[in-house]
Amino acid sequence: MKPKTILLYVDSSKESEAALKAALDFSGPQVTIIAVNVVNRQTVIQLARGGSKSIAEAEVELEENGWCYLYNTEEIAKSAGAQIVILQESGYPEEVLPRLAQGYGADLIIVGQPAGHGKDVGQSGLAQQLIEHAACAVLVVK
Amino acid sequence: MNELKLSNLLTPKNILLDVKEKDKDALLAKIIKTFSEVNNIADPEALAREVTEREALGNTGIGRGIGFPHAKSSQVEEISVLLARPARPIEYGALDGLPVNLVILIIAPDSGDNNQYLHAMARISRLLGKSEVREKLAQVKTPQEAIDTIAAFEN
Repeated sequence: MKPKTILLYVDSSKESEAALKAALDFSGPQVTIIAVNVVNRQTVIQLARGGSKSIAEAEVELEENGWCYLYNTEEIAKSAGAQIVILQESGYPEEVLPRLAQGYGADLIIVGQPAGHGKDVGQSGLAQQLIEHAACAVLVVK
Repeated sequence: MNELKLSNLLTPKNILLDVKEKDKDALLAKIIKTFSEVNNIADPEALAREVTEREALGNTGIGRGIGFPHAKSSQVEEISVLLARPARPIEYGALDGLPVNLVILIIAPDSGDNNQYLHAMARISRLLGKSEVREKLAQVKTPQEAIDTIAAFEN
């Protein structure tokens, strides 16, 4: 069955680009892609701890970079004629994505995952957590 | 990269406060008409088509009461904007279901620096995503006050 509403997780990774390509493979007149970037609270704290940035500066950087990825994704999707809306949320992707998927009635979540990972905690374990907690289908793209 | 600031792109002429239009289509038409006049657009109808065609591929309501129509066009030579504040919140079809209180149109040259365009949109989205910025902009009385408010947050 072809999905009608796809929740696409967007971040800076190469696998995120592969996830977009997979989403575009499903696209069509009746299909809407909801591209989501999540400003990860844990990453904000790590950035602030690890460098010279304050929490506020780290947030600004992640938010702005996230919007850039989203608008880039939107450009590519619209050039391909796909229907897409973008949004940015704050929190933890493993919590935000299932909630949004349920709230917007998504029937598929697509997420990229770095090769060679999947059992670790954190970004690489996101796919595993989504598979366990999301109410809809999850497509993991390497 | 040269950092574009929204406050540097705004002048009192490209800010509309308390716009009376009552629905999304009328509001966008008003915004595009004013934008075209302010920026001496040669073919306003072509610009309107470019904006509405983009809109048709995905609602540009980015949530939290902000509408952000945008397009690339051969009608402009540099990134140009128009900020509008409707007199009353307007149903925009945004994903979060909230009507919009602020709309910002951004048009970039179709042959321009795409990175600069993406970064400008990212910066504006982040800025207007802040509730304190939106609250201040909801209260300004003049276009110049709006520019000063945005400049204060950008700096």
